[in-house]
Amino acid sequence: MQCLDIRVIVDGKALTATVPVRLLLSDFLREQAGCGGLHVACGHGVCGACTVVLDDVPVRACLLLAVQADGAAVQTIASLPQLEGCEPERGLTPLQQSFRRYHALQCGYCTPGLLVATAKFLAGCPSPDRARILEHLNGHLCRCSGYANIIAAIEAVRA
Amino acid sequence: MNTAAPFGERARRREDGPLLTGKGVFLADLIRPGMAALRVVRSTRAHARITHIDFSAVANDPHCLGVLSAATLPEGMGRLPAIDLVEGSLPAHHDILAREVVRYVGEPVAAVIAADAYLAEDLAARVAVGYDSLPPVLNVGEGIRADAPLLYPQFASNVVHQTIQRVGDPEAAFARADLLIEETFHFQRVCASAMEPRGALATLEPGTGRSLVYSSTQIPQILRRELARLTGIPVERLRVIAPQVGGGFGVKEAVYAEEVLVLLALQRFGRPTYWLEDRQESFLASSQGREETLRVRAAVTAAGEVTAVDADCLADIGAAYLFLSNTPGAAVASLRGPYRIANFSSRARSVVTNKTPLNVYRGAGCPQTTLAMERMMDLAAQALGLDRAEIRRRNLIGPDAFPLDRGVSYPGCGRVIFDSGNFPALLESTLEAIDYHGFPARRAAAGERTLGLGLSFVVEMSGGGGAEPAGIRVLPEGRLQLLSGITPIGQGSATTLAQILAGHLGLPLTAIEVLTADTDQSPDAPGTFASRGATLGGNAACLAGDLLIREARQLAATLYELPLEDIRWQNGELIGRAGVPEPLSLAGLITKAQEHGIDALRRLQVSGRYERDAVSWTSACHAAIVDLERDTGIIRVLDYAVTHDCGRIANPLLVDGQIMGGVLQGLGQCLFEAQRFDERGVPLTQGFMDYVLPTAATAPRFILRHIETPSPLNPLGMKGAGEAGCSGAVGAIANAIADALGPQVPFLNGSGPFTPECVLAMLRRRGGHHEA
Amino acid sequence: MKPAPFAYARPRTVLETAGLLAKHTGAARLLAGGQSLVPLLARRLACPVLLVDINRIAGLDAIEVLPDQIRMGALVRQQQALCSEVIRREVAGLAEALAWVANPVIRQRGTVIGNLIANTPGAELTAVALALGARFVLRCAAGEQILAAEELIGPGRSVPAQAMVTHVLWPRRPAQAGFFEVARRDGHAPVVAALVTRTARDCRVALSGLTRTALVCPTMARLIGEGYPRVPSREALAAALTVDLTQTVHTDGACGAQYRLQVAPAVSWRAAQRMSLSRATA
Ligand SMILES: Cc1cc2nc3c(=O)[nH]c(=O)nc-3n(C[C@H](O)[C@H](O)[C@H](O)COP(=O)(O)OP(=O)(O)OC[C@H]3O[C@@H](n4cnc5c(N)ncnc54)[C@H](O)[C@@H]3O)c2cc1C
Ligand code: FES
Ligand code: FES
Repeated sequence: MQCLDIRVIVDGKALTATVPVRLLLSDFLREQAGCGGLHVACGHGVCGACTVVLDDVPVRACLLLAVQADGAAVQTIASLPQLEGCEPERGLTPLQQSFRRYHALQCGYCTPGLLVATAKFLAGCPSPDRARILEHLNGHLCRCSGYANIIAAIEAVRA
Repeated sequence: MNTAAPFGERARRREDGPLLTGKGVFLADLIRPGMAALRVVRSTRAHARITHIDFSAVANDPHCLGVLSAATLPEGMGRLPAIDLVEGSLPAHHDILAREVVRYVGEPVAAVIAADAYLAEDLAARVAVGYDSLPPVLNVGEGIRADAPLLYPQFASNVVHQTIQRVGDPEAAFARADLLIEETFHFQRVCASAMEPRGALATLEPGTGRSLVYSSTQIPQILRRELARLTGIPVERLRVIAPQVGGGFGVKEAVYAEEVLVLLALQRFGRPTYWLEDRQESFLASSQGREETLRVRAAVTAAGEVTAVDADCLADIGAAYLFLSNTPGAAVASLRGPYRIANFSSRARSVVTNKTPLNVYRGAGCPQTTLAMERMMDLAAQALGLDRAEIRRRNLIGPDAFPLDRGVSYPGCGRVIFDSGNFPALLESTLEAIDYHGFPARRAAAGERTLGLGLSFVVEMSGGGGAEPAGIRVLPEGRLQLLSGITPIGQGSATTLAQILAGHLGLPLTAIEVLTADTDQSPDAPGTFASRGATLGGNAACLAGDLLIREARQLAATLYELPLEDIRWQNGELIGRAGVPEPLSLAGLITKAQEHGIDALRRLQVSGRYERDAVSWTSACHAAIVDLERDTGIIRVLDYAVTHDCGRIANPLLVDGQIMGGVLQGLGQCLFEAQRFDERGVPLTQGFMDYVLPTAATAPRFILRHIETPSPLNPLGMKGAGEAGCSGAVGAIANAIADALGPQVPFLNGSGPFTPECVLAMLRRRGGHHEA
Repeated sequence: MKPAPFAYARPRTVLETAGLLAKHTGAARLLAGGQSLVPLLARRLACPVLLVDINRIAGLDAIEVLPDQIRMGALVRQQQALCSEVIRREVAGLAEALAWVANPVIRQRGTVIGNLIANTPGAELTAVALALGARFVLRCAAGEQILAAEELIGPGRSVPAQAMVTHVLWPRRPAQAGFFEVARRDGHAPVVAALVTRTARDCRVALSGLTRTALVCPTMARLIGEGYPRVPSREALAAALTVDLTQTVHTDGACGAQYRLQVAPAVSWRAAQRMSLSRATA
């Protein structure tokens, strides 16, 4: 089976690996790059749980091959402080705090992907109205929360 | 004095930290290099005889680490358990792997083990299974026909279970009625769709050599017992741990073949083995919910009093029992909900069909009965020209009627005895919250928009499942570990239980750690289901807390040579009448004991069982306002009010979260979700592209209120809060849709989901659709 | 849900790609944004021998303004086109339609051409391509070829196995446009969608989802164009649609034919309303 060597920067750390060409980026990140915070819920692009940032663009890790990330930088939930533009290692980010305050997570399975996507969304659109927030959330499924608290948590952190 | 964690605070969750930072450990996070992946070969036929299973294409493949089929399973291996069978139920149980006959698409037929999931899937695709098709039974109507093909020929019927209830004299009441209403409701099949799929991992515990099974399950303790029964491994040689569980809702409340298979693979091939369900498999082989046909007749007086109800339920339980498959149908016993209705009769039958097994899903059978009963109330109001709130007012059980024996029994909880409640207050509160009286004006002002308002009560059993154990361990620095049998599945039970115990003992929240979901740590308990976590787990924790207090007082009495009565426990400390210099903390007690050479930590380790019957009845009144777009048929839920009564509330923040999450699941069932099968029994939805789930844009504006009528059945006065949001929502939204459609439009009762297509079809039946 | 084994190539040029396709005729598949193809690979509904990843071909991510057309490369992402001023001005209707496609994250990766080539029944962009007369530039080892949208979109039609689409050409057509769709749930895959676009000279309407291939509706278009800025009633649109409806109405697991037929005039009406309103804001 064909394998390729890839170089990827994952959450700031440079990695090299030899991977089968069919390996999905989501599996590579979870199994070889130690990104346990990346969750796979559907594996076909609908739920948003696996959202990561690839060279500054949010993507579904389950819809990319690991070899496609060769030479790129990937940011997962571990890079949330950077994505929010705040100091790393300083406890929870404003978005994380807001999710906690508004009880915007229950089982927490959808949460990391949602936080990554939301941080990226707010970086590009710091004061979204409700309609924009809903458009953004259209790419995310959460089966526990009933969404109202997620919307409230995002509204509370917008500029 | 410690007031840091009182019962009733909107405490933020202790679970959140790791989950927010991606450090929560879910099942998939436990997989290590060197572990083998198991892939299940599943039936592609709904009903067929297996002619052969041919592994020759994989047997010599170096990637193949092992194969399993029925033929290679241990001799006399048992079958998957069901726990809600009554006398007379026919034992339609599943084999771990199909023997001779397959009964649904997705049924496990064989398994292959390889170094990773990619290779395992390659191999599974090359296992050749031969089938001789048999005619499938795809709905209950076909299933009960005398000439129906039989799923289990040995039973001579596809009806595998029946429960009958009777209260008063329904025939007489029907004979006297001024108005008779009869409706048949069809409920579609839905998939619980927890975001984390199922998964299991079996490995050997370092040091002890015991078998260690991790599973994304709601019931680790029961799973251990059943794994022991099925594999013959002694219970004490088995440890089961549920890591973080990414949502359950009932779908993880069963013992599944895959959990057994990973353990068999470990035993047989000596390799730690895991199985991770993919989303397509979840749609084929994880339990499904709701499907039933429910015929209801009601006898009503001219004054709007419902005097009798008769119900006949045919539940489509799929191909075999899966743990709690009879419960949803049998729950028709509680059809009358909050209404007096003196006379009642019901029959519930479970029918096996060639579909994925049915199991309880959030609300079990209550969403169905709620929708049916609440539709009947609206239909009665409409026929009599009564206001919808008024007809409910006239039939509600009064606040002084409790405890009230409803004269029926309910699987898993025995007799139905409503413990407490204040239904009229729920109604008035919800009417005010939704501005019921202002609604006609709002509707008139809506212009092109067509609005509808729907009301629904729900009275739901909570806290079944039997006695609940709990234990407490004291750590040297005086902190406590609560060992609970309640498995966390996202509901925040660690926070709630810590709050309850901290409040009970007068200790700060931070002094209490909660350990659960590990059969080594947590006591042998039923698990998490039936909205039982906070109530049973909480009361059990308090009971253990009382034992701890007694032990601590006794120890202090010994150390200070005082009579026991002279030592009191107050606000987390020991206070002596004389001789004890100042309030003594647990840490102080431990130090003091050590000075005397006493092992305080051992003495202070306590465990107890909360034995009292704690089945309590949570109630709520829901109201929904929907917007119906008449030219497209699209329905949107705009406003949603709930007044909820789950007795005393340990943490309102989390209870509100349960209600909103539940309402959205009910909304999904009403508007979007359906698992359908083609004429050969192949599931038509196998992913989220086809199975439509609610998103944020579909969430209504919520107005949540609470009334607390404490349950007299347990010292904390609590009732469950996990399910009534879901059950009430289907009733309120269905009634709101019917209201928006107007009385002239025939309402396809219960035949959800009420998709735009279905709504336009209803409008079309009346003829002429756009008024705009 | 893991892809079956395949070989993987990452060509740097169109020529190289054409060479690979020629060598592996029928057994190779191009990978653009992957937002349709990877789910098929994962479910093993697509099992190519060779996967040719075109994402690193230089120069295909441009939107170029030519004298009478807009040329869009195979790597122009949906979100990029949606945000492009040029597209908004010159290819009226495309951006309006793109706003309904999937969600922003999928659109940042999915390409406009990949979407059109995926040929999904009911997809929004198929209506746009047919209404506006998009043309595709195909490249194979033998040379270049230009095909009209009608030749690629629809059942049984597809890009020849040895060819790659390098560009899509959109006629420059500054116009007003309105787009609307209904789905089983707001934001879900479309059931029926309508594009209405109008210049001073002509009006065009196309519906996707009503029929297996998007349907161009000249009668409805004439009616809307003549009535402009008043939008004809749904009943009048329904009558016009019966004239335009030359194919059988589509039906699938998501939705039956009767609903599609019934809702199509309402969807067109709303698209026309949006088009009329767009004047006020333009
Ligand atoms: C959650 C989700 C929601 C979606 N919702 C919608 C929606 O509402 N409406 C909609 O229309 N789509 C929707 N899509 C599909 C999405 O728009 C895809 O991006 C698009 O259809 C495919 O574009 P792509 O670049 O990703 O193509 P790919 O997936 O890479 O390829 C698609 C097909 O086209 C072929 N191909 C690609 N590029 C070329 C080329 N240059 N030459 C020849 N062949 C080529 C490929 O071989 C493949 O067969 C959705 C997808 C997801 C995951
Ligand atoms: S797991 Fe990738 S989108 Fe659902
Ligand atoms: S919190 Fe469980 S899926 Fe979102």
